[in-house]
Amino acid sequence: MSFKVDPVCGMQVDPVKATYKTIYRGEIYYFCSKRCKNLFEKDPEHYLKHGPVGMLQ
Amino acid sequence: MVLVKERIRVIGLDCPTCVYSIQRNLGKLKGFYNIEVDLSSGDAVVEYEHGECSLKDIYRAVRDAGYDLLKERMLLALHELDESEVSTVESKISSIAGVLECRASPVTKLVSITYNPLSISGSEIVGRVKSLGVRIAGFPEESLGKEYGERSLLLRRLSAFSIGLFAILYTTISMYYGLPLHRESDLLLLSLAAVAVAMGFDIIIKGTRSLAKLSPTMDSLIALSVSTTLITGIAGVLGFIEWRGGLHSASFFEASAGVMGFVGLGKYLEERLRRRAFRSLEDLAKTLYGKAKVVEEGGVRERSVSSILPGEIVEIKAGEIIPVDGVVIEGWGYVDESSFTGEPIPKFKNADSRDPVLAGSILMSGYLKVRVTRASRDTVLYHIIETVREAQFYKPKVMRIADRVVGLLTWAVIAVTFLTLIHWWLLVGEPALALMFSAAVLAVACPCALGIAIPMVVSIAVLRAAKNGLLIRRGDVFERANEVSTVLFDKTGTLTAGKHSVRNIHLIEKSIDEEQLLHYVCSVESRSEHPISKALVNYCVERGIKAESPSEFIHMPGMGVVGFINGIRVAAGNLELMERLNASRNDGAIELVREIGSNGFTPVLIAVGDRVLGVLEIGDVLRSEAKSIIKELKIHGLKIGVVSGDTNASVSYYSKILDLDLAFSELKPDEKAELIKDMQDKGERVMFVGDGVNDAPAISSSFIGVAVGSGSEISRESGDLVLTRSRLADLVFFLKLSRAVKRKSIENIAWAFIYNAILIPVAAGLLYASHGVIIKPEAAALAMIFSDISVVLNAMTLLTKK
Repeated sequence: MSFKVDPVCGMQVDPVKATYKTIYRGEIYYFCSKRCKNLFEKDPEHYLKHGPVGMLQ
Repeated sequence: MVLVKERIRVIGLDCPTCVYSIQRNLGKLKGFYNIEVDLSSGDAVVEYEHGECSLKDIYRAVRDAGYDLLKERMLLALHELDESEVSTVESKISSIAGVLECRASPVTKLVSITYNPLSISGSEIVGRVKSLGVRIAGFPEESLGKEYGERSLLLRRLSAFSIGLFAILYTTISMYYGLPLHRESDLLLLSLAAVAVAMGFDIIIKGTRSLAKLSPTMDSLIALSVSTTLITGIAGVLGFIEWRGGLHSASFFEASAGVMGFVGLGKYLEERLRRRAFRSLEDLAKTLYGKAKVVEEGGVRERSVSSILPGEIVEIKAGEIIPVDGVVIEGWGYVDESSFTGEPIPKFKNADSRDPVLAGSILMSGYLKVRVTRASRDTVLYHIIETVREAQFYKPKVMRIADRVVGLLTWAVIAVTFLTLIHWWLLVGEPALALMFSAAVLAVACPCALGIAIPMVVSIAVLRAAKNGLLIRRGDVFERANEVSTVLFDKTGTLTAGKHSVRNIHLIEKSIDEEQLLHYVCSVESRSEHPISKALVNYCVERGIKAESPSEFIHMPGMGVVGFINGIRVAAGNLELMERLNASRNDGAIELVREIGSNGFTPVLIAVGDRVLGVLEIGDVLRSEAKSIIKELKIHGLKIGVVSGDTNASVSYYSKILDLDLAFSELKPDEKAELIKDMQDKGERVMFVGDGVNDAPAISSSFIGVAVGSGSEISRESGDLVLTRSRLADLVFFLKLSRAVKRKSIENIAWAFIYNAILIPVAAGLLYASHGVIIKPEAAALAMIFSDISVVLNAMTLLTKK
């Protein structure tokens, strides 16, 4: 299966192995870490509109 | 200033964020320079200043950041490891570069070393340990249950004891009848003393050796005491000492023979007692390193258990110990599983029902062929043995202090001896009395009892727990259990039996029939491990509905599952999942969900495509014991609550009938974990009881995580404590056992401390001037041995605890 992109940090994530995922508006998103998932869930629209922001800090 | 570069491997890295948090933590360390990490493999190179910083600090910092280092563990058995040597040995071995942690147990004389395999190898460690002057007896994995020429040792100890006893009787009787002690009796007693000392020469040599290394032990004190009395006696015979006040050479010879005899036998008995407690387990452990009869093409062949792989077939005849975990595929028999369950009546195991068997249980009658599911290190038995071993290395804070005290105590005793000698010889002017008192102080002091007081109790408790279906994963759970303020239970499978059944199928739309709906449900659920999913799949099998494999499968913890069947998206789960998927649901469905929940049942909504087409009503039954257990826990003063992913209505139904203090519903696994963390931040100490696989996050974030095990899955489950029989009643037993552990530890420590605090001054002659009290060295030795053995016996009473 192909890799999916983490909408927060832009990393490639293997959907089969991913532990962190969420469903938003009928779409499934995969994350590299809990931190990215939490950020996404706080403000999903921001990341969907602006694309991945890369690593913060 | 020396800069050191070392290779490590970090475990648990899955994104660059992790590296930042590790770097942040490491940056706080003094003397730390740099870390370079390869994200994909976790391989890293650290640079630090030798002396300022060590691999141990780095290891700790990485663990604090929530990750772990690749590490390996080895066990060494030592020839000698006295209570008082423990802290010296630990700090010596810890100083070897590459060693992350070292813990030693005086109970089993084993040392556990955790090391970084990238900077040092196991054999290198062994070499370094040897060069530090620590003598290694073997590597326990291979030498488990080995006998160390016990019989001849017993004979020697017994004869020394009888000689000592004879010497004491002889002098006592002579004095009683007022017979003058002649030169002949001096010589007789001298030879008795010499023989007794020769028989216990190993103790004298050990003691002198550790004294020479400036880390005196129990044995050093005995060696000093015996040699003092012996030399004084000889000096008397040779006329160097002028006897006064009823003391003679004979009394000194009697003392050396008595001390040697009592101490020798006492130490021997204590050692035997300690070992007997673990004997049953060690016997079982042998099966993991023994042979098994493997059924191969062309006949049965005997092979070592460690070479057996899952899938192979093993033959077991009546009377044999089952060497592997597996499933019965041929034959039947009665199997004694008391080592795991405490259940004395053998269980019937049969090939027709494919019954599971565990390594270490005994086939009482019958004949079995077993297909291996796990062998040697993966077996349940191995896990139990590992925990018992681990527990022996466990040291609560009190114990760390006690360890240090024991080391100091031996020095303190030597100091007191000197003061006694100086006081009575120089200030009072009684050289003979001075020597007698000094020998008594040396013989009476008992640092041993202090050293084994807690580890002995904890190891016995772990053993006792295992017999009652409790697998203890860490030694401090007993200590923690006494601090718990709140117990939170998971609902499904923990408070309830977890035997789900489909009670009703509600079709929301008529565009589909039951069979079709179930076909979709079971196909998508077939890949999930959730208890409800398993129940649904079973239901379909019973109704003869075929399931197919979904082309894509996503498990959303705490919500449900989503998959694609023949290109159609199918979802089974709760309301939240449907909302997130934008699946259209009518008011009828929402009303149904509420109604099902208020009766204590669980609704599962089914969406095919983007419409909710049906709702399944899943029923579960309360465990019969749940009510009484919760009542009992409340008597202990604990707050009881339930945390569940189920609907609010269903959870409050259960909360009401169980009379719970707290109820939390509609939580996903990681939200449960967060809830627990929040409560703990507010000062609560939470014990969480749940399913070891699905509730892993909550279990690991709670103060004590308890997994309700399903028996065969123990090695996969997380948790500080696993209820292997999956019975809640065992939890109450655990709390009671923890209380007993605390009580016994305090008793032992207090007893050992009070004993030394009272008897050492008395032996030094504190009461001689006022009351004329003398503790003779041989009586002192007897008291010491008695104190030592009583500590072991006190711990062993836990074995029979109900």
